[in-house]
Amino acid sequence: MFERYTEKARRVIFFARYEASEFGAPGIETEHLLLGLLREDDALTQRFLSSLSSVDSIRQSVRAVTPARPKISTSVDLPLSHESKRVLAYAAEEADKLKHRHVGTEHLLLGLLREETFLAATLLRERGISNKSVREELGAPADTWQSKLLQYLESLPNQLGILAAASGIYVKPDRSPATKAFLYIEVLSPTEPLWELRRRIDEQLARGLRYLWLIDTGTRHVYVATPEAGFHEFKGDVLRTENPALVLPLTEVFA
Amino acid sequence: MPTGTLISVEQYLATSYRPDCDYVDGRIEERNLGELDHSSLQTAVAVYFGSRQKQLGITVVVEQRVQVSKTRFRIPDVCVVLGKATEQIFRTPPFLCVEILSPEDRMKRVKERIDDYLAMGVSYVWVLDPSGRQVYVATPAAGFHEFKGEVLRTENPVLELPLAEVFA
Repeated sequence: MFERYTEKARRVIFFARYEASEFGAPGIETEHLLLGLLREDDALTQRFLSSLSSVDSIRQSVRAVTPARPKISTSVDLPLSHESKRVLAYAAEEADKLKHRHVGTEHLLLGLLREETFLAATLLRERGISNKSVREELGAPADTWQSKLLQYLESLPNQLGILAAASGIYVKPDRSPATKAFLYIEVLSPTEPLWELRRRIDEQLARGLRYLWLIDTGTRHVYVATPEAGFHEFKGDVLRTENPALVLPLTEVFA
Repeated sequence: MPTGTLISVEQYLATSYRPDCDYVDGRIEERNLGELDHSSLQTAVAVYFGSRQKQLGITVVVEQRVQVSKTRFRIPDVCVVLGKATEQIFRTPPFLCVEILSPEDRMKRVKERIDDYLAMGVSYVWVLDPSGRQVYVATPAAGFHEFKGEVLRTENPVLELPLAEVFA
């Protein structure tokens, strides 16, 4: 069940279990998942809650509504409540919708928000966080831009090889299985740190990729990386490659 | 972007955060800092320019609140103004802002900060990444781009930062 989970997301579950035992709860409830999430992912907390005082206030709210019970030893196995199981199922669904292979803390947050009538979602809503606002922050669902872009690329007269991957589209000069992609178009991940992104881009260019186009579907910024010019913001209206020539007006990317 | 509790500009200005925070349209945004790589590079840049203030006719400050728009305050890691600085909170665009990246920084957030500086009228933004020793430059004319040389340089006036001096 946790194979697709990132290291951080796994630790959220671990911390949720710890929180439940601290509260002496018989099972891991959605509020424990939320506390685990806040404990594990500072960056996500900062993005959505904007101040650490909100984390304290959430902890206090949970304490206020939870009956005082003696702590349970962490060696006792605590089951996930039905609601928490649903949250995890929702998180996986959210990752699928965004075409993300991994289930990360951001998907867990979306999952928590979907279990609307329970404490975690209520606490988040009280702080101005909704499913809509989180999705907006994470960018438009990847499948929307990807399917639109695929349609466009496949409509081009030259016989390019188009391969849709989980988070982007590879373009090859022809359809032969032996040729390598010269272009990779991907949507900017809202959670990938810049240094990791850069390392990945450099690795792809080192392996022979000639163009990488990175699209921020939220802000509509576009970045380009090539071996010659490095990584930079793209300010024009039409993206182009040479040899083979491919032209992509940004109107085809952003509806 | 979603919000936590919103606070007013007045509340922000009357509050001391440790470490100091950005203020973005009512929200307090914590800055990613505190680790050695970040601190040493920030210090190195500040020391390099700080020791040349008189000679270059500039003022160099770190962690200075800069009001980039009516409802936004940013705190560049290092900030260079031409001549003497007089404002307690900068409301006149600095000449150069230097940002040091932390492992947690995301492209989107970094870009948002850069765009805030450029929109305010800052002439140069330099972004240094201690982990991969990558350097980026942003100017109003050329936008954000990777810098591949060895000496960062501004025009009018000319300020130079040899990268070997700061990436020890």
